[in-house]
Amino acid sequence: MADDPTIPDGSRLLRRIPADANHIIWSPNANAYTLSSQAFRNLQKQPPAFSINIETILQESGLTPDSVIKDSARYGLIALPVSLVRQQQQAVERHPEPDDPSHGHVVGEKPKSVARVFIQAVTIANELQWVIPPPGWPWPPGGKVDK
Amino acid sequence: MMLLAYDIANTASCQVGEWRAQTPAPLWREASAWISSVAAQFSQIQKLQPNWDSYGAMPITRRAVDAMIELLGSVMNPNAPAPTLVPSARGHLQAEWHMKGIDLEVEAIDPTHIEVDYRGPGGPWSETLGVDLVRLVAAINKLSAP
Repeated sequence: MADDPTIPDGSRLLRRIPADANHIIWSPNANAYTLSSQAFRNLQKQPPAFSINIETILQESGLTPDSVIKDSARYGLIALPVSLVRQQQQAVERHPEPDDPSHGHVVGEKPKSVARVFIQAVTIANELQWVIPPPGWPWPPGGKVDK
Repeated sequence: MMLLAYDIANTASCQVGEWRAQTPAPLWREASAWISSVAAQFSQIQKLQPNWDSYGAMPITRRAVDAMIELLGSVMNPNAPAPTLVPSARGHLQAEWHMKGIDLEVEAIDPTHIEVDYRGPGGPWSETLGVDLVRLVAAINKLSAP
């Protein structure tokens, strides 16, 4: 499959971030929380891809991002602009599932440089921008992991 | 280089790994700060169930834990700050530091395939390392400086 041009550049791709797997980490450099690059690594290898939900399809169905959070006690939800994703040589594809019609894939190799662009895209003034924040957000400075 | 070995008690209630030095040295007893942190993080990470990221992520394998332990034992020093251990959806581990003006990510895909991404003094570099970990040791040493 190739990039789906019916998914507009102005749309957003929603991705869940686990709250209890150190994908949200404290950065003393930024004095703020950031995301690990692992939040944007491909699980699938052939083709290389990770899963997202396509916001325009949600909207067409009269649904909101709350419908794709799965478990608000375990995940937060971020949004990547489709235009930015395509600029990183990624293809955006629809992969609807019976219980997840807005499901899609971001297809393409994702070296750390691409993950960094994605992290920057969900960060403004060192602050992570959530569509739905993870439970307990904002978290206390210094991190949740006991060091 | 020191190598640290560990046994994780395989009981339902035991959550903490036991660390045992294979080559004892007084110097490594002083490294208890980062070792304790890493052991606690391993304990938490190994609780992750399949699909922990909601996208089909694999649980972290024993092989992945062993690979990370072997790696840390080879590159860390007693003054090194503890990394944040981050699970990969494919079942391996990444160690990260974001401090002292350095952003360092070390992904231990297997014992001879270590992906390193460094941003900090001396300029950025990304490299896949095998048995030669000199550049990574140098990066850790920069993190260890007061």
